[in-house]
Amino acid sequence: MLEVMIDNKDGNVWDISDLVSSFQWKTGRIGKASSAELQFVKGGIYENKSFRYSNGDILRVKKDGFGVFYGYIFSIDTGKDEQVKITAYDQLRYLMSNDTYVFKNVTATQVIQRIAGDFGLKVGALADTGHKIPSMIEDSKKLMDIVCKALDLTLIATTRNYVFYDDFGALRLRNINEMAVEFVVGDGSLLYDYEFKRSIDSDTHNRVKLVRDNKESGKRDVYIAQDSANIARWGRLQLYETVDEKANAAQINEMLNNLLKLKNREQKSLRLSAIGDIRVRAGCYVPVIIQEISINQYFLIDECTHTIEGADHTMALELKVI
Amino acid sequence: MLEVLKQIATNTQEAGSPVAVMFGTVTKVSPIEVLVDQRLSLSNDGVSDPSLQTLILTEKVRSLAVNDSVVLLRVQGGQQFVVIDKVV
Repeated sequence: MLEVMIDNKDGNVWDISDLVSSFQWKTGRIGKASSAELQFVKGGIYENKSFRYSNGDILRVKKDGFGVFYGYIFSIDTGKDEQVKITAYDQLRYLMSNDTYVFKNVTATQVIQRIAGDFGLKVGALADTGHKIPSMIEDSKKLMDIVCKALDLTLIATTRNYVFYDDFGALRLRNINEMAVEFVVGDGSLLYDYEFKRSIDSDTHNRVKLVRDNKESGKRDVYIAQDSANIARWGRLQLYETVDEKANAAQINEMLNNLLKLKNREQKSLRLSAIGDIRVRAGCYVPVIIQEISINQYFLIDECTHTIEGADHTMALELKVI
Repeated sequence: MLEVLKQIATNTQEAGSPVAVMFGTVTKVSPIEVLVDQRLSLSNDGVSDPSLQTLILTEKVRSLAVNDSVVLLRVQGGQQFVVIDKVV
């Protein structure tokens, strides 16, 4: 059962669960507020005269008692007929404005706490990222970009990946290792369609060429790594890059190998359409089993869209394939 | 539409923090601290390696006093600032 409430912030809370014809909830893993789109019917015979909905009102959605969405109305679309469409975003929407910050020796967690404090956002449980970022000077930058950058720097330094999101009205930061869901999506379980794309069209290279201008000898040093077997298969797809003069041969060779390892493969993307389970959101780890394309592993969800129309609940998942 | 595109392009540019000339006021010496536009407080972290410093001083500005106005150059990326000279 979907429970939809609109809080006018003036003491009135309206339960519009029975009016809602469709509900869509979108979550993204990085730097995005989750959004809820709601369609309902206005002007019913029994509609209370004082029933109102305005921008800024709180929209709260629960499903079977599970808190799904808690956010604020940002746009209202309506016309002559009785359909009304409301779009709401969670607290993260308020991180889309710019400000200036100078951080020294702080963790990503502290960055979030500081910004949330300054902008009056409600904070829930934040994981301690542990890694101290030496310095971050952000001059008139988007707050969301500042947070994402702090998390990026943490990821690069510690290889720990965190997901920052709004959990039913409170900001949360969680390590992705804790975000595994306890059910499988795949053959015979929830899945009803998938789109699997394998491509060498973009960002696939089987030959890497790095050059460095050598001031001392006045020449260009060239470093090449390639996979001949793959070149025979796909033709030669070269990646050409200039490297920093200061890098030494060992560093360049390491970079060369890393790049080849990373790029010398098909780029894969996987989209699933499945029966909905409201506990799934972007940032979750979900086990996927699809025999036809021999997939049996955990995937990180990049984007997740839940659609509820009447009794039908489906979800579309965009997965990150590494 | 054109205006929107221009706005997006400008924002994209700005997000990369391109090189820019800025003015600031010295608020503290040793370690030196410069306030830019009353919002951005920059300080030399006392690190000796210039590639790690936030505020990079040049020979010309060795002796700065509190309330001196200075010209700064923001290094691409916006993580470092070079104090070029004193404004008189």
